[in-house]
Amino acid sequence: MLTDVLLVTKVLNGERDYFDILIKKYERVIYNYIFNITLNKEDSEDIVQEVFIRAYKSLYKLENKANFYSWIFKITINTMNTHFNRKKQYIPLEDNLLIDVSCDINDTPEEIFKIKEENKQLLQKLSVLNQDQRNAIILKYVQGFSYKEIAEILQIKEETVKIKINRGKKKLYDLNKNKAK
Amino acid sequence: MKCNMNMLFDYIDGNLADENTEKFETHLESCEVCRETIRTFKLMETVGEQEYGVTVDVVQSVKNYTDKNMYDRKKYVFINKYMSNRKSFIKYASLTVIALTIVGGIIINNNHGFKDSVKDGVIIDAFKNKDFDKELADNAKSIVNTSYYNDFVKVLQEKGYQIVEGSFAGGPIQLPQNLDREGKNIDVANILNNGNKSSISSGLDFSGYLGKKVMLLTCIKEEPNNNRKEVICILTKDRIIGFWEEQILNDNKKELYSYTLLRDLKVDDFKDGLGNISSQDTDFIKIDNLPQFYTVEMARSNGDVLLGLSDNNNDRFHKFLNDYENKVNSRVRIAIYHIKNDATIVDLIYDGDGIKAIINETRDPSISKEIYGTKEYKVLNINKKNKNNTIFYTATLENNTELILAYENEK
Repeated sequence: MLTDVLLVTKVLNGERDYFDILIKKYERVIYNYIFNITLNKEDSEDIVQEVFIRAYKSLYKLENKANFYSWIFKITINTMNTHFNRKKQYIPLEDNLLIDVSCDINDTPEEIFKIKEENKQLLQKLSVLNQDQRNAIILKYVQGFSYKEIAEILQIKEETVKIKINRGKKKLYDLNKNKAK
Repeated sequence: MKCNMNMLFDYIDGNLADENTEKFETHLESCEVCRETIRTFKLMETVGEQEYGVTVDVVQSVKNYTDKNMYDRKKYVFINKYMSNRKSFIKYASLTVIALTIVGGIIINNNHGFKDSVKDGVIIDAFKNKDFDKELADNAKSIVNTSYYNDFVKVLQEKGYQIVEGSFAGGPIQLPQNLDREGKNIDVANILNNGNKSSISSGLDFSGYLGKKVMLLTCIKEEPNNNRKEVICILTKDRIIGFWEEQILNDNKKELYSYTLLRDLKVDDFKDGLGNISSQDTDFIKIDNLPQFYTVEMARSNGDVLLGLSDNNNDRFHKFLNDYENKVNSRVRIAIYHIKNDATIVDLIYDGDGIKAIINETRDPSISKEIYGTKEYKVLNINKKNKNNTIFYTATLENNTELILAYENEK
């Protein structure tokens, strides 16, 4: 497997084709991340394309080439923020946005429906968090990044990440608590 | 047991001690709040495991919307190349703008212009020698009043050095008045002192330039063992005045440290008042108030000059030049489209004193946040050049950047 360092170096040396390998390597995880948050195929397609276009154009700014993975997440989050600031909404809660969800071909309609419902419920819960808390919690619990990686992606201190995640946790806990009352 | 949030999250993260786990699980049976919270976090894990196929050809769309030769090193330097190929001209224009932003202004040296001098320059030959670093230092002094800068960058890039954005993008810095190791800038003084010592050993002494506005250029080369070699150059408008090397061990802290320190010296070039926009132009929407999705159609109907497109309103540009010659206040807006609706917008304003250029690049997605926003430059010169039967109009900005404004076929 070619390392990211090598791939990035090759691209920066003018060997453009190596960027295709980088795309192939990461498009799936990026697309899935975006899709899990937007639940909208069109938005996800737009964003994933924009992410890699941005990444290509600013590749020369990547200081530590070994960090390509977290760097591309950084771009993804920025792109999503811009995208949804433009649209003035972040989380789609209307049912009709879920219609064109693409699922695995082998899934039964019931399974597809279940997945959609679960995602929707989760996003509804997470909508009590502010944008930073939500990003941090999703990166930690959905994507499984470490605190250190999240700090890099969100360009904040590791301690701040922990604080944000803890606050987010508390909010989610309080939400359930209030519901129980 | 009472409901305990810390315990709950330790349980979720798998950090709860064994003796507490049992206790907690008993509590769980009776606590809906904890169960529901656990369910939420479990759900996140499940969601993370779902896989959707990518439904769009990302590889192709990146190809369609980027310049595949962007990292062909020669293109950064041989801007002349673009001038000989009109089809590439749009690319050239956007490259200029990108260059303008990343470089903070010196990719095209004032003296360099569009001359074809790069290829047969003496400097290149001198730099072809294997022993680059010594050669570079020896020759740096002789690079005076030439197209030295582009060649210099080219050599650095050929030798595997990469320009570091933090310093390069910052462009001008102001050297402190003295290098006394006192006061709050003690670290800056240390860096510059040591730098100058080693620079003197290469034959360049910049102590005569203290207090002056200069340009800082830092280049990095990856070395084996994760070490990096750094070349720091201090340049004035027409010469290299300081040059030293540093071996950076794989210790990010130190690296970050010296960059931030040098960056602290940055000069706010645009602080000085440049005169206000003349009030007679009320029909002009202020550049900051233009819609984010500023389409070609909108630009065209507003009478903006559209660089490189057909039906480009170039007559507006000529009116502006006429007004300028006749000393009549005037302004013109130029929209430079790169891909689609991502125009860089340049306002040229003549207010009797001189021309200023207001540049807004907020629509270009490739430009990082730090340099988002509107910047204002003095225009030193408007240049007209004829190349292969095409007439190009460019502006030389106060930071010695050449900005393309319009072009058209020779009549």
